Amino acid sequence: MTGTNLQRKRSEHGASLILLVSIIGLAFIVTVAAFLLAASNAQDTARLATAKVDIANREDILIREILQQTATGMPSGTNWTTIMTTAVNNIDAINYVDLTELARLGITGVIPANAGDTGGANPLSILQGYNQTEVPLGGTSGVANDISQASPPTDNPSLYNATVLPPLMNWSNSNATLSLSTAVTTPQEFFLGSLNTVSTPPTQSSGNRWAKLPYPATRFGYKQPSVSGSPNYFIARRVWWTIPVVYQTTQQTEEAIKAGTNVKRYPSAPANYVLSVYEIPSQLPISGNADLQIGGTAWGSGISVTGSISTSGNQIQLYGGTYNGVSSRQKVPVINSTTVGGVTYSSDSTGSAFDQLGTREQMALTQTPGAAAPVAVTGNDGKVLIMPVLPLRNGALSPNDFYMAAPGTPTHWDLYARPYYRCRIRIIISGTDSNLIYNSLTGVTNTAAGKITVQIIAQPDAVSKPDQILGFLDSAATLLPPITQTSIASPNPKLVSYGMNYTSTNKGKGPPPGNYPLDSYDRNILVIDIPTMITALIKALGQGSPAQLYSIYIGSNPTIEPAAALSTTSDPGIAITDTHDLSAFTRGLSIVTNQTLYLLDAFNQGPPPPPLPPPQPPTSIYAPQIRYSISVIPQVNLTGQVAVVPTPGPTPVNPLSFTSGNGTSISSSNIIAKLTEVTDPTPWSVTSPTGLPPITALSLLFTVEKEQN
Amino acid sequence: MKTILFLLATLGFIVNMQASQVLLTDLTGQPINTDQGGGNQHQGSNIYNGLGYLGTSPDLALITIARTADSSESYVVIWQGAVNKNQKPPANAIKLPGSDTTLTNPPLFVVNFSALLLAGTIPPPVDATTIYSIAVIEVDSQGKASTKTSAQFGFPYLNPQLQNTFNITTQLGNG
Repeated sequence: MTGTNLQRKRSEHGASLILLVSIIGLAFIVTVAAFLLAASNAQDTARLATAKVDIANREDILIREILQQTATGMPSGTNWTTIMTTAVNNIDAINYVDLTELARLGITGVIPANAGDTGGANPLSILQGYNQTEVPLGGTSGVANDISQASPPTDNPSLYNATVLPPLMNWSNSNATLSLSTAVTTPQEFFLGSLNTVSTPPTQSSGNRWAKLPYPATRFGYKQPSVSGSPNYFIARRVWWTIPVVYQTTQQTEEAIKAGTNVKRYPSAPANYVLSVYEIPSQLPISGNADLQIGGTAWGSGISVTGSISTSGNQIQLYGGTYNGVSSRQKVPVINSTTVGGVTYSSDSTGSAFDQLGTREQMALTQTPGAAAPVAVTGNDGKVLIMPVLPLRNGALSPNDFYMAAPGTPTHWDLYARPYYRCRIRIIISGTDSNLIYNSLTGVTNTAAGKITVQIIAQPDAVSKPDQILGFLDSAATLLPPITQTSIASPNPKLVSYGMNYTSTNKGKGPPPGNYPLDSYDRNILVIDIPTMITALIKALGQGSPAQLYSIYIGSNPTIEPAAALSTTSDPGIAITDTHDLSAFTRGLSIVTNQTLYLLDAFNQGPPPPPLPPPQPPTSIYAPQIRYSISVIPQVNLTGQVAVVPTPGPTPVNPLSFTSGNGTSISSSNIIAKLTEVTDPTPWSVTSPTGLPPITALSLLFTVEKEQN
Repeated sequence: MKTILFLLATLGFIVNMQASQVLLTDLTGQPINTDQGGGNQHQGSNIYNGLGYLGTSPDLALITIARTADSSESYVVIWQGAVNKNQKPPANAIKLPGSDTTLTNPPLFVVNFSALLLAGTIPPPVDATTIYSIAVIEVDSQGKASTKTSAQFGFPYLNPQLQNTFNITTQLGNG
């Protein structure tokens, strides 16, 4: 029998076999462990990446919501706590799944897939602003939450970096109306009290409100965005805050969970966002707060527009023509083919064809990198909002109130957004009736008519800075004794001494059959010789000069019109005259009225014979309706800008549709308009024709961007 | 008593002796011309361009004529052309309806220049150099007419198409 000495063989190789198996086993274990470790690391990396993406998305959504809530809350004076609370709650900022709902469903102890959830109870905890609260750090010196004075938290060492952040503003101490403590907690108060630092930026208006700033890098084409080395400037005031956002997820390692060390897998990574509000005065050739109609047959060959067209209203309808750029808040319907920025846009009544998928990408490929599209809406850039500066009525922006005084005690927003309070002269008309003074149909003058009371309120600006942000109350001014005239048969010589005459228009049609329409019929008007009125007023006040009395409000029932009714037969029209030479108003001149304004002659052409160039200070005229002449259809030659504020009546508004005093539309062949852009906010002088008029329509452009360290 | 009677008699004398007056005022009540028994002083000078100011419009070209202490009949005439110094108005001068009065203190008379133009009562301007004149004529008890006061008006900024041009340099809110 032949056998194998297995025992012996085992005895010879057993040790090595065991060693081999052990080595293989160890290698296997090491390999498996390595795989497990790698897998664990990969999972951690995946968790980290997921958390990063999730947090990035959350931050993006959060700051968009904060932008929205800040813009919404600005006019009403909402404080930061409300703004931030609303923002974080609206987007479920820290827990995408509502924990209350989960508890109600009996689901507990789950690990949500939303890696960015912080698991905290207080959503505001992710905002690490002033004193580690939801209040942002402000970019204005002199306010407690001034970012340059804030103590940085240990995990957020870089607070104010002048090379990255905008220049610091200064708190305005000139108007004691505002409160420093409120400015910390309320963006509106902070915004209203912040002025540019002297000489920073270098080109500024007299009161440091307006500065020549680079247009921000947004795709909203109010202007073309500034690119490195090639800034595009516009006139604005930039007020800003930094919002530190710190997301810390609940995700932990298994080891940390077991060890109870509470070490987060995703370390808190603070991100600072810069929220800016650009206050933009009307400076473009055509701008406004209303829906606009541009071009078409209503525009003749005499129209020239140099610069962009923009509105903070909902839409601009394009009826043809060639323009540099067009931007609106919501849409731009192309009614007739129009060329903008060298690009021809086909008709499209939807207002969005220029922005549709495919078209947009094609344009992005073909246009200059970093440029805004020739036609743009705010939606082209998710972190931009534009809104008109308008007074509030019943909690909503009210265009008509632009021409009105506040019905009750004015708020700070009223003092800002209602031009009434920024007018140095307020001429308030009352006591009128519906008796027509002169009936042009019969040629009869009613000597019993002409009842009127005129109250003049005035306050010369001793420092001659028409760019002040806030206006002032009537009680802060001088109220001259009211001038009352019972009829034209007993004219009050005081009225005449102020260059005023209460008379009536001559349209050849007699009185209107009812309250409307007034345009085609005779109506009573208060004619004001502007230079004569100013001279008389200075004499009555014993102080002042045209440079200190640079803004005039003329109104009848200023707290209810034109919101209640544009005009009735009892409401006088306002006519201004002797306005050919306004060169004495070296700080500019603005005229605002809540009634129909009749221009009787040339406006701001300098003294005759006209020197070249004629001295033409910056001026503005704002009225719900402007009429040119009374009974004739004139030739209108306009140089400057058109800024449209919505009024009662049909929209969109054609900003170059002019009407004569008898309600007849002035033919496009009788209109020449040379519309240009204001580019320099520095004060006007004869040798330096710069500057903005004292009163303009305003828009607010809200932007938010991540601080790039 | 004698003193009082003397004062009353003196006062009556002053009233009776007070010269009649005419005051021409423009749209906003600013005086254009006034005369206390004077006549045609202008003769082509002192052209008032205030009708619509600097000639941009004849609208609301209202000239108010206040006549006080008239001793007899008076009326208002208007014509296209300048005033000839110390001469009667030309033959084509038009007496304005409603202006003729024999009242000592007649009510204000308003000349609506624009209405006269539109109604064709006076011819339209030929060009920017066209001048219109207005005069208040007084007729004494012997029927002799004399010019109490006069004023001249022009529209020097009419364009060649005789349109009233509104040159406006401003920021126009709600155009």
